[in-house]
This record gives sequence, C-alpha cells and structure tokens, in this order.
Amino acid sequence: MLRFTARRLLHAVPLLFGVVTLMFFLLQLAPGDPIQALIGDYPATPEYIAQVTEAYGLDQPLLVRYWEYLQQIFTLNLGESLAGRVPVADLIADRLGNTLILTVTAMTFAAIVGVAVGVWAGVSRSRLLDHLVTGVAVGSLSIPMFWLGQMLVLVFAIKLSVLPSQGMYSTRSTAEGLDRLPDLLAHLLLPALVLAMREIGVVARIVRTSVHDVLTLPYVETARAKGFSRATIIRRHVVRNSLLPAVTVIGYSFGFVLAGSVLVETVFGWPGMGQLLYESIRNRDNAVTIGVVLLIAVAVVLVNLLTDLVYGLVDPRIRVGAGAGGRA
Amino acid sequence: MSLDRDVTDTLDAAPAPSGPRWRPGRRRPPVPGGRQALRRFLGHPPAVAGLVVLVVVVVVAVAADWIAPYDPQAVSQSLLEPPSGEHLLGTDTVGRDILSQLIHGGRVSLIVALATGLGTLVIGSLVGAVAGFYGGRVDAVLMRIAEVFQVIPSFALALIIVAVLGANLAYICAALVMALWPQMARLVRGEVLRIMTTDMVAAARTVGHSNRRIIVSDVLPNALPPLIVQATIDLGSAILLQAGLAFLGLGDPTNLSWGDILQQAQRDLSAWWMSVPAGLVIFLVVLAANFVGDGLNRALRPTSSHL
Repeated sequence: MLRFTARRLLHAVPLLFGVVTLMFFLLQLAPGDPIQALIGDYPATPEYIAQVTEAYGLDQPLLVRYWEYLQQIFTLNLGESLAGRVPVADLIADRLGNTLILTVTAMTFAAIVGVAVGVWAGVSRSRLLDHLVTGVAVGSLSIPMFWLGQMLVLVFAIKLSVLPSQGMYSTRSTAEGLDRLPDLLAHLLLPALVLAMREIGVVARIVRTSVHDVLTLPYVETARAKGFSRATIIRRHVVRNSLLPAVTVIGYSFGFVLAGSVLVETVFGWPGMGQLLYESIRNRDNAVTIGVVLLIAVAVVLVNLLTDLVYGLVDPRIRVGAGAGGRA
Repeated sequence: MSLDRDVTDTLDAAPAPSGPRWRPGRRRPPVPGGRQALRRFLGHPPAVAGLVVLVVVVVVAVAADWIAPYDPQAVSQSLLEPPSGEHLLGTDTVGRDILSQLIHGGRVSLIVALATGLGTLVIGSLVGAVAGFYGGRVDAVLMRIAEVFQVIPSFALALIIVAVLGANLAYICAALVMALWPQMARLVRGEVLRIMTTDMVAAARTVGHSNRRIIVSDVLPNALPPLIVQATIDLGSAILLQAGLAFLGLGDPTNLSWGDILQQAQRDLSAWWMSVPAGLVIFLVVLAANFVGDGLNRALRPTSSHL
C-alpha cells in the first residue's frame, strides 16, 4: 500500500505543476498592456509608470516572472484583488466553507440516491425501470443545470412560496448557533438538489450496469445454488462488488460539481466561491478569477488522488495491477 | 475523468476485429456504415427524433432574418411584457422581443457547436494519432499535457480562458476546444493503439506499406466511427458550456445567445416568459445531439454497448 500511495503521489505532483504553469501562461495571453490595466485610464507620468512596472516585476524576462510566480503560488500567495487590495487567499478562505457545505451535501445525496436507484434498476428485470433510469440519466446530462435551478426557484419560491430563493440564511432570522440549522437546510435544499441531479444520473447508470454484470458471475450462481435468499445474495455479494465503480465515478465527479457550483451559487445567491468567481468576472479582477480556478484544479487533483487511494484500499487487486502494469 | 461523456470506457467491450477481413491498404476498406448502418439508425426512434429537432433548428437559424418578427436587438417602449399577440413570447427588460432573440440565438449556438466540434475533432485526432502511433516518450508527454487540461473541469477551464481573453465568439470557441480536446485525443489514441495490433496493420507492414499509407488507409478509416460519435456528443457539450458562460456574463455582446436570455431572466425570475422557453430550447437541442450520438453509436458500432 505504501508503494502504491507513493506512486500516486508522484503522479500528482507534476500534474499540479502543469496546472500552475498553464495558469501562468494563460495570464500572459491577456490582451492589452498590464501596466495600463493597473494604472487605469488616468494620465500618469513616465516616472510613475516605471515605478509600477518595477513594483510588479513587469520589466523582468518571462522566465524570471514565471519563476517568481511559482514561488508565490507555493507559498500560497495568490496575489491581491484589484478591488480593495485584499489578498486573494483571504477572499477564498472566507467563501470556501460555504461552497463545501453545498457541494458535500449534494455529493452525499447523489451517492445515496444514485446507488439506491442503480441497484434497484440493476436487480429488477423491468425494462420500463431500465429505460426510465437511462432516460433520466441522459436528461440530466442534457439539461442546463442553472436553468433547472431557475425553474425550481420559479415553482417553489415564486409560485408556491414554500422555499427561499436566495442566500444561505434568512435576513430576518435572529436565531443563533444550532437554531439556525432549519433555516440553513431550507436554503440548502434546492441548490443541493440541482447540483446533485447530474451525479444521481451518472452514478445510477454505472451502478446499474455493474449490478447487471455482477449478477452473471459464477460466484453469484454458487451462492444461489447454496440456497441463500435473493435478498442476502444481493446485499452481500452483488451490491458490495458493484460499489467499486461508484467510488470512482463519485470521486472523479467532484471537479464537475465544484465547477457546477459556480453556476448554481449564482442562481441561488449562495455566498460561496462560485459567487466570488462570478463577481470577479464582472469586475475583471483576474487575480481572483485565476485564484479560484487554480484552487478548483488543485482540489480536483487531490480528490482524484484520494479516490485512487480509497479504491486501492477497498480493492487490493488494483494495487497489484498497478504494480504490474500501471493504470493509465 | 468525466467518465460519463467518454466513449472510451465502452471500447473494451468491442471485440477487436480479428483476421484480415479485407486486404491491407485497400483504398476503401469496408467502413462499418452504409445501408445497414442507416437502417440501424432509422430503427432507433430517439435518434430520428433528435435528428428532426436538429434539422429544424438549423433551418430556423439559417432563415432567422425572414422568420423573426422583430430585430432581436431593437429596443422598444414595451418593457418586460408577458406574452401577447404582439410579442408572442413577451419582451425583456429593455423591450426586445424574446421570440426574435430565441430565433437568432440559435445561430450562435450552432456556430459555437460546429466550430468547437470541428476544432476538437482536428486537434484531438492529431494529438491522439501521433501519441498512439509513435508511442514511447512522445505518447507520455502528450498524454501528460492532456491530463493537465483534463484535471481542470471543462467549464472552469473555458470560463477562465474567456474571462482572460475577452468574450467574443472566436475566443469562446477556442476556449471550448481547449476544454474538450483531451477527451477526443484520448479516444483517438486508444483506437489507434487497438488498430495497430490488428492483423490488418501487421499485414500492411509485411507488404511494406509506409507509415503514412498505414495511417491514412488503415488506421484512420477504422478509427472513425467512435470519433464521429464523440464529436456529436461534443456538439451538445459545447452548447451547454457556452450557455453557462453566457449566463455568467461571458457571452459575446454583439451576438446574443440563449444563455444571454437566461442571464437577463435571472434579474427577475418571476418573468417566466424569459427563462422557460430559452432553457427549454437549450435542453431540447442538447438532448437531440445526445440522442443522435447514441443512434450513431448503435449504427456505426453495433457490437459496443450503448445508452
């Protein structure tokens, strides 16, 4: 296991390095003169321009700036936002928790519902149910997530007035501590549902296929011949083995959910990282935009690493297989 | 990464063609297609329905100037009006006709989808074919680069590129290609690797055919079916991603798209005539593209698993 872990870690490091490099060169592509962008449209003396240029190291060659950028990133210095000169890292830290509440709730919900529906559809021989799961899965891949959110707001908040449409807590609420939980849950329900929608379809589909496959394996036949009840076979032999692909899909979906939260947070006014990103785009505040995307990418690398490790832990065959040939 | 939109995982299920079913280097190898494939496609109702939807959208988009009742950019005195005889789908906050915006917005979606699909196909095929054919270090480096692009969620990558470069149609398409090419490259690479081990290629080598000839007449035609399927799915992805960008305010202001209408709608969601039709149209078109993709998969690769 140790060697397996080390190998996966060694794989993740150059990947992170690559992401940071990509971000740096993307920044260099930004049109227009960065000095002009920093100064704004005010008339400036040549001395002042020289001063700004030097302060930001813009007179240095590309490779020197790249080196300095790398040093900055690895000391977690993401620069300052244009508006208010607040460190980008602080801005993100303020919002990260709220985004995690939303995304982790959505993914947990998606995992539970997706696995349940997938097993049900895989075990049942009903073609109708099969078609239904496939239909919902394809539908959830085709629907614009933010529009689904708008529709839910339209129905549940505007027409029926049963759920709040914006924010994380009611502005009029005076509750403190744990008493705020019901209010939070009411605000969380719709955005988490929207975010979970696509993953439910994806997870259900993969679990259904895998249950189908496992059901045809010889050891299931053996268990049947031994006289175990259908329920026992499904619970002990089928579901357990069908969960493996679900682990991968859920782990690898994290990036998608994190990126999707940008849209969903914008629809529901959820005060998370996505909204920060949205504001930074509107204000053309590139340091913040890049900081958030960089964080998303880093999170994806780490969660993928974690997924691989969990997979290796759950299924020893993977470790052995990786040792022999390696996974792509 | 995003396993759901990738056809590579179904490839293992497809048995590799064994034995030289055709002579190596023949000009026109029997690409799985033709009349039988057409029959399989037409025998799958969702695929036919999807094709009909796409054809209607193309016709409407091409004929937008004649069909649209108003100029989509023309402002008027009737602000945020619900549907009426005068404005069939109502007006937006500055009095523009929603129906006309929808009709013209189809053009943007189609341009984005086609340009992105084509760009992804070209770049993905090129990188994937080179990686698969030459293997070794070239393969390792190219696939590592692809991985860097893939680890950033495609929406986040497209978003940051457009945010940095600026929101015009060309940059938006370029950003979407950047976000979608790695998947195509991986798919092509896998196909090339599979085909390279077939007897057909071995036979071509024995006969002394050049690398170029093997790539052009053996590898490419046989790798085509899954590429066509993936490209069709990419059309839908491009439309969805573009709508999301426009919703966040990263739409080309001179070419209003369906996503721009939804951004407007967000300001006042009770004006349902703005949000409902625009989102429905996006949903239908992307669904249609996915159905057509699945139909093509059934038609061109009958042995593989499908939806």
